[in-house]
Amino acid sequence: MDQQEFVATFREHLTPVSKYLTRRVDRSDVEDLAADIFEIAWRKRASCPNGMELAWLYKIAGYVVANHRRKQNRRGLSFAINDNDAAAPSAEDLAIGTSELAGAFASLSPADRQALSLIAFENLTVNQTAVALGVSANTASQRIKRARERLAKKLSEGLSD
Amino acid sequence: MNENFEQDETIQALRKAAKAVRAPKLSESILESASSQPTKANWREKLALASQRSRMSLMGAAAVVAVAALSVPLVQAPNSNIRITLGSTASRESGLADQALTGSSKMSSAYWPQWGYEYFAGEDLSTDEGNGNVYRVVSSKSAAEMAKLLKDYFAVEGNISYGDLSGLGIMGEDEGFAPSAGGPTTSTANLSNGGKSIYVSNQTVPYFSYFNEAAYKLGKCVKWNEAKVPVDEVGNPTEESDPTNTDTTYCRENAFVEPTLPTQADAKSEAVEVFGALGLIVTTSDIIVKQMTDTMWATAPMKLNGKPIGLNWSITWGNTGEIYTIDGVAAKFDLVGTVHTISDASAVERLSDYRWRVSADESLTWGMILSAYRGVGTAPKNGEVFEPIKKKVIKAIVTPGTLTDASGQMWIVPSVALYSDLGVAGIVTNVASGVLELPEFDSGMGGEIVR
Repeated sequence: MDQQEFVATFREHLTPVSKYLTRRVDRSDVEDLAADIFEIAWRKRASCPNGMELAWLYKIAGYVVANHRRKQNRRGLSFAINDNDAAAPSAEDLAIGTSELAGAFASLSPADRQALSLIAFENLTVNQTAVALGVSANTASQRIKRARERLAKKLSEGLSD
Repeated sequence: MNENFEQDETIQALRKAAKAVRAPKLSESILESASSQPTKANWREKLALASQRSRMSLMGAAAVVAVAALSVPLVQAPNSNIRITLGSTASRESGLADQALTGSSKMSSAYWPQWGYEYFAGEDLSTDEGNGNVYRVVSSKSAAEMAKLLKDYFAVEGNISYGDLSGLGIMGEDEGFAPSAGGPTTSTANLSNGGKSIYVSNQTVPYFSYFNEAAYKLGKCVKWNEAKVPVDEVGNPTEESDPTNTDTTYCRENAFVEPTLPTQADAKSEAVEVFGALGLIVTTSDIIVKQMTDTMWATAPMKLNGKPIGLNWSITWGNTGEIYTIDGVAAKFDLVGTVHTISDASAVERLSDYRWRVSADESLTWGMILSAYRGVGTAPKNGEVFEPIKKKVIKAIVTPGTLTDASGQMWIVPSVALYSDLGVAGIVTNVASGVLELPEFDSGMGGEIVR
């Protein structure tokens, strides 16, 4: 993939990436982090799965957001190889309009929130979610199912802690 | 509940409850800036790629090269019967052969970097017409033969399994995907056993990769993660690990393992030997070696008549000194004939038409600078007219160029890289009119609402 094709391939994903970031970081950081994401995408373009470009970008974005948060928290700068879930949005990030649902969502683990957010807010398929999380489709499906079950349980119990 | 949870009430409730976000509009300059550096995949990325291939077995080849069973072509009388039909939406360029796999680009003038520039030929450019050879890129081995060769050479136990990409959900979404456009047979050959993996994907030609997990040893874990997931023998999460399980810990950082790498000279010799055994005949002078902290990488450009065409074979050594990955493409080039070529000066006019573009050796495009992308992402709105900047083309380098036709067939055609004082202005084929049947010009001026 050369420079022109890179631009051609990823230009349609600028907006989804912007929205992904807007849900997770301060708006003022969106452009800088998007630049980081696409720089990594350019370097790693050979490993981009065909037809899964957006999900693959979200995978990179997960690491970039996780690192960004770590830097903000002054807790190390290492690349978050296994910590894509650290990019999970909070209920506040997602601006969930229903307080009950927001509370239940906030009480989930980062891993659960990350899995649910990709399927619910980024509108990914299970296969795309698998790419974004760096796991198999089966694992992704199981993670989503368990996460939504935990969310449903918390909603039914009225938990909001 | 369907696969994508479209009918799931909880998911739908969550989806409905989320307030719309007003995301900032990102400029395409982000993409241009990101891709402005002529980076090759670095070492760790190559390792990650190989690892990913071995796991997913569906990745496209990265750095690839054709097998060089080449004979020096004779210059023949120009052949007026050679005609290559280009597709309107398929991936046009193929210099990096993975593009034949992705094929997702819908090339139009919107992506043509010289939008906004108007080039004219400098006085130093040649006005001489000439001849050039056209080659068809064909398989030197079938996917099955290549897989068998890799299996035997690296002594991988087990049976090779064969498949068809079309049955694995990778095809079908994009009309531009070359094999679905009636191109050559698409099939795969896989073997994974004992930490060694072989993957061959026969698209236009067989792209192959070999991965030996044992060649890179991970050190003892020195930092553990709080999350608890199933781990392998060295403490890393397995592919099936579910981080939502909390019954164990996994390794976050491994201790450095002192590498035992070959010397650069030994690496070159070994690369020559291995590439030769797999079908690429090169000499040590063709091999470029780069040593990293605990790994080593070597690559050999595929050459046609002594000129690299942008395809490479690559080999890496892990910290044990053993071969960790290899990738390339089993292809050869059949001389189809000789065609007339236009002059360098005349070729300058083709810079304004993306349909003449080809891919070529990556080093020819180094120096592409952002200012050459002035127009991308700022398509003229209705009634708006760009005032083009006139730039003189001051240098031309003749090179083989590669492109993929409407059927997915890859070709090597005479081409020329053209340069202004800003750097490379573009690489276009200089075949005479009539050799290429061009698709209808896509102005790409429809614009795209980015919000």
